[in-house]
Amino acid sequence: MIELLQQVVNGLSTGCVYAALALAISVIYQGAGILNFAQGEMATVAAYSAWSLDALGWPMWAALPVVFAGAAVLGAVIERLLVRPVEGASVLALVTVSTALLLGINGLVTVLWGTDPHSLAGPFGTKALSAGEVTVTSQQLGGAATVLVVMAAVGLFFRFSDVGLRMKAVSQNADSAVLLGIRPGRMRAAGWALAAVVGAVAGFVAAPATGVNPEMMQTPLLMAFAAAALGGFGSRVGAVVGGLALGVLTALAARYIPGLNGDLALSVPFGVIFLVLLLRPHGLFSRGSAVRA
Amino acid sequence: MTTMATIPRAKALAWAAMAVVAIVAPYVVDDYQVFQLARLTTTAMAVASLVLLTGWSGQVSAGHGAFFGVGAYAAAILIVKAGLPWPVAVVLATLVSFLAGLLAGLPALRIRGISLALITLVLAVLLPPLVVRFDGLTGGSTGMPLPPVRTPAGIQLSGAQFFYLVTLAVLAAVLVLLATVCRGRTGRSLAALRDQPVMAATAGVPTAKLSLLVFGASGAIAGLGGALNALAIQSVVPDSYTFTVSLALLTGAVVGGIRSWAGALIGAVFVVYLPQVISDSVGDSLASHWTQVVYAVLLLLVLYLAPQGLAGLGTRLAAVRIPGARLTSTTPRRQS
Amino acid sequence: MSGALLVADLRAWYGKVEVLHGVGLTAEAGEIVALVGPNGAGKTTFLRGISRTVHTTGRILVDGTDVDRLDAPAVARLGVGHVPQGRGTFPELSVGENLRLGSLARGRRFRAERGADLDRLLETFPILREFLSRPAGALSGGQQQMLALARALLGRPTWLLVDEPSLGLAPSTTLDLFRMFDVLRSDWGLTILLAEQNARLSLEVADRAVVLSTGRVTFQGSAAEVAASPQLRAAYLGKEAAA
Repeated sequence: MIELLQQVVNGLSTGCVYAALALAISVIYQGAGILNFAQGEMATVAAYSAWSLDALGWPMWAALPVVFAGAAVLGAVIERLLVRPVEGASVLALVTVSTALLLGINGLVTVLWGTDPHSLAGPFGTKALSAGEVTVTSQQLGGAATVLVVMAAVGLFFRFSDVGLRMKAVSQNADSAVLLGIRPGRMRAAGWALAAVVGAVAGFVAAPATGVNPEMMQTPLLMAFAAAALGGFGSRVGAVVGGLALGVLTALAARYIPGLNGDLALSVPFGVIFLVLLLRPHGLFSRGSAVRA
Repeated sequence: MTTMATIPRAKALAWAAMAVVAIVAPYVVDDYQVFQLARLTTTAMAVASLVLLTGWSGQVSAGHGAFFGVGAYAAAILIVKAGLPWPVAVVLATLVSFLAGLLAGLPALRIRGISLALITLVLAVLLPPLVVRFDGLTGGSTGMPLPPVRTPAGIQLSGAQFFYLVTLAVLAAVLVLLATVCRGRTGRSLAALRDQPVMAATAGVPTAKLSLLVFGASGAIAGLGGALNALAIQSVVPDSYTFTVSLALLTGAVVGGIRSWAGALIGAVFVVYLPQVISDSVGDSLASHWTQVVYAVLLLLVLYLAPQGLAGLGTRLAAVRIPGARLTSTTPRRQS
Repeated sequence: MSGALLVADLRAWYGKVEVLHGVGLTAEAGEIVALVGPNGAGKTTFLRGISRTVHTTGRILVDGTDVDRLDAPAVARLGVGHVPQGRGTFPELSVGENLRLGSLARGRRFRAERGADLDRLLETFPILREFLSRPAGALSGGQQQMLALARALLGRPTWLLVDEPSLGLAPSTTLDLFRMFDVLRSDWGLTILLAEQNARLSLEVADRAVVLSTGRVTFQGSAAEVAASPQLRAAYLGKEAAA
């Protein structure tokens, strides 16, 4: 029982990273109808940037705002320069851009920073806290808190802010949005910027556990896609719940199903994506009409 | 009328010239180059299978390396563990890949578009760890060596020359078969499936069956290429079938021309030779990463500037030089 | 603030086919001008040209400002409200959010009046108040049309372009809606351009009217003149009937 609880806690902790990345994926999908295969790579860039600033002796509180602002700019620039030309184009064009981003950013990260893995200490320390016999590290708690705060902020942003409302309007009916003085291009760029920041948070929270290396976000990215599929690609709440659920599911599967540990933990998200898209293509949380082809 | 006929004639000439070069090449270049050519022909099959699936039926696969790998491993296991002669193993591997294609095609019955691409991508990511997991059968992360294909007695060719010519013949057969099938009624059904799936269904095209079959056929052709490729390089290792290979195949297909059989050859040239060219210029350690960057740049350039790929660009340039020629492409235009 | 509108020599194309062949009209501030003509006459394209949602050549002056170089959002911010055909509501956003988007249409201008504007409108369209937190997609056609109108009004437009408001509505609902235009015009100080296939209805509320037929203006004048004109009948019945 204790063991089970411990696994659930660990799963929730990794699930936070998946949830944040899935949230980023769904924000972009909602705005542009594109599944950003490079969401994980963009988060990796953020993690490397944080590491570089850390290596230069920057304190964390100064480095993070710079990293997040940089991520936002990167996201917006990618949208304006690379994604904009294929807006509304065929699926193949969207997949091609997404693929190019994945290949390109992944390649550039290694070219710029090399293949040596680095470690980045989290700002929350590594103190172990026990509640009964279940142990949580302060990094896990701090990471989870960070992710939750970001998610709440994103939720509030879309619920109450004018820009958030405009972004939702563009994702539903861009033709109609322009009649209300909204510039869809700017809103889509803002969506990419927001998603990039949320993804960067995921990278930053994941880094202490995964280390900083070119492949650090590969598993989280697949998990995040599975989570987004589970929740319905356009549903932000679904993405978050899906991410947490997958974290727990994977932790439990790795512990209790023989053979599903290590790399093969990847078969869990695959199974989830496969089954969900096969049985309930719109996800568990999304209204059918919200889903694009 | 002359202009209309000029392009097919020029095309036929180009194909004939290419065939002559391909047949003569093994007698001119050394065995290492012949080995590279065999990689080229086998990779071209995988790219052609993507042209069929993505270009013709509109179902985007970002994970075709998985079928390439399934074919390779099926052939390797049948040869090494079951002791089957290689031609039998290749045929069976093709069959296995066909089944794998059908299985992967199941989601295509429910979903299309970018979510389908995602499923195929995940499939490709999953293959290497699966292979490592079943190391008793697959040789795990170090893979398996394959015995070289021997030239049958009585033929005066080196093993490399002989096997290259075999792959060339198979590739030619595959391309002729694909081009023939896609030219007729099936081609029109595929185009309908791609451009107007709903209308196709109401017009009596068996969309579900067709989707599945195309997936199966595409998987089979990719697997056939994979099996022959494994025989050419005489080994299978999981690292040869990572998801970046899948993305490289997609890059090849898009850059070559997603609806062009000639494009499949051009694409294969990129997939096989580009990493080498880059490795020669930046050194081995970062070569694969620079290759990725170059792939990305190529993909974007082609996407923005020449959506029909380099093959389409070639046809277009050819058409421009002939005054008055209006025909710019042999492939059907996408209706929006 | 005035509210005059001048359109001259407007041309538009679908692909390579010219669908508007140099049409124009003038509207004085505070007028309701009806654009009448059958389906395919070019009424929608005309309105979309003014709101810059299709490409056109020609001149479009709103209050003397040349708008043909501007894009659609900029024109909206100048005070051109457009209730498109099919209403263009955001089905998955709540009625309240739809309305909020309307009041954002002119940026920070009229910000102080947003609350009062909303109250006023909810008084005019009481049904919307009941559905504020419901998704817009759940409303009936008539209710959505009211929502679309209300949303446009919250942007405090000087010019209101309304495209086929009767489409898909029950006759009684349509009548109520059309009677409202007169009130709305005086309450909100609007110049209204009303494109409507149902000429009888729109001529009843309009001051002046323009008859469009296959991309050309065949007649314009006061609503009464147009109602009595043979060109109106010709536009609807084809050229043979006019002879």
